[in-house]
Amino acid sequence: MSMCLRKTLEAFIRHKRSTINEWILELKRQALINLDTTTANMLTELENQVGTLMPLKTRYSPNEYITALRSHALILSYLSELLETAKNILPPDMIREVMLRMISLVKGGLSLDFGGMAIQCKNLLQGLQELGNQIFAEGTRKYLVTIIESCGFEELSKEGEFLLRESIASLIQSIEKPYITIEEICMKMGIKEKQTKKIIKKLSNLYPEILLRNDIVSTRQKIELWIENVIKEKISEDEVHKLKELFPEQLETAYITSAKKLTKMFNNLLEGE
Amino acid sequence: MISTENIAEMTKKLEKLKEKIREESIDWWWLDQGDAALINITKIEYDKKEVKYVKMPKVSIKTAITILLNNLKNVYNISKGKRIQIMSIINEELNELLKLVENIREAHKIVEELEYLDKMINSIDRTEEEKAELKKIIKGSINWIKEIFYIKPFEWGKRKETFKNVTKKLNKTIIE
Repeated sequence: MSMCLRKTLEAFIRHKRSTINEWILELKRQALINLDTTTANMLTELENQVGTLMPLKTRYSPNEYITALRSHALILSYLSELLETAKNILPPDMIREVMLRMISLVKGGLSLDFGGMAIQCKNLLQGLQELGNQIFAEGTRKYLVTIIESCGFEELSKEGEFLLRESIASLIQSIEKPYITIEEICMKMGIKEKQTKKIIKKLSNLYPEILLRNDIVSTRQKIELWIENVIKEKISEDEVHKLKELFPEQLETAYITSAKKLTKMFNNLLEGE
Repeated sequence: MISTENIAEMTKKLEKLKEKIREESIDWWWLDQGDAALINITKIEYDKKEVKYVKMPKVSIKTAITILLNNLKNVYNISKGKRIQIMSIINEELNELLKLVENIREAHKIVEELEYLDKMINSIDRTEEEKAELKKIIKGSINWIKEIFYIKPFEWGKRKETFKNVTKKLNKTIIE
């Protein structure tokens, strides 16, 4: 267990708790101005719940304590993101309900199952549709960046690495081009260039679907979807030449996949499906 | 990566498609039972030294699939660097063929409906002059559809609404 990681996570938790409480206070102030004592009381309850979001060192073994810290930090990252993004969009009782359900995850025994908790949070936030996806992506990013920037990529757990891979893959998926540069990842993730390159290199070794050539990153899935679009929409093929130089094998595979899909669509059409 | 299995699988599927097209196109009387030359396709000729891309004059859908099949069979013999370009051409032309068949099927439904209305004209209570006028509209519409497919088959998407509306109006006049 690294001292850096423990201190970073504890500081992250304290910081997020105080930010969340400031936002809750703001909502409470608003409720009181509107003489809505019910909402104000509910928010007080929420404030108390957030105040307890720090694992008790005495309840865990040293390794378990770190896992619990990770879980609490991730939950708080989502809670803070939820309040920041949705406080002026969603009604307070809806925000409160999602927050309480997330808090109950970490308090209800999932604090030692970081991966399971992250999945549950994702499912919960998906209930808020696009806004929820945005909150999940940004909450995950902030949590990951804090650990990476303070203590290094090596301090991420296996599940953390997986979350990082997911974040990068969804970043690649969200752009128009068939690939992204390391520089663009740095800017969007908020991680230094040298560090980013090291991370992507490691991730591409761990997960073969992440492709890295020079300073260009892509995924097999991205190339396949992009090629399908090139064929259907006949969009500019300038990028195809670049892909041909960088990822020729994946490009070949993408064309084969696309041809198979087209043949299947053709077949379905003729069979009247 | 392109493997012999991949090519064999694709070839098998395309051969099945060709057979299905052959069966279905028997009904496309207005397109010479599927023998009408409608689409430009690239024939990829390969000898040991170089790959030639020959843009063919318009061919029928059945011939287009045969050319695509030959192109596909050639892919495996060609050097890696050139395969991507060939696969890209095969994909584009396969996509065009798919769109073309989609268009033909849509148009064929309208042509069938127009044919049906043409038969119904004789039994309606109208003057001979009026009946001749309606028949003229139907014949003109079918010819126009035919012309679109012979000249610019991919423009069907922009024009189909016109024919749908004409058919709807004829339907109202003749049947209702």
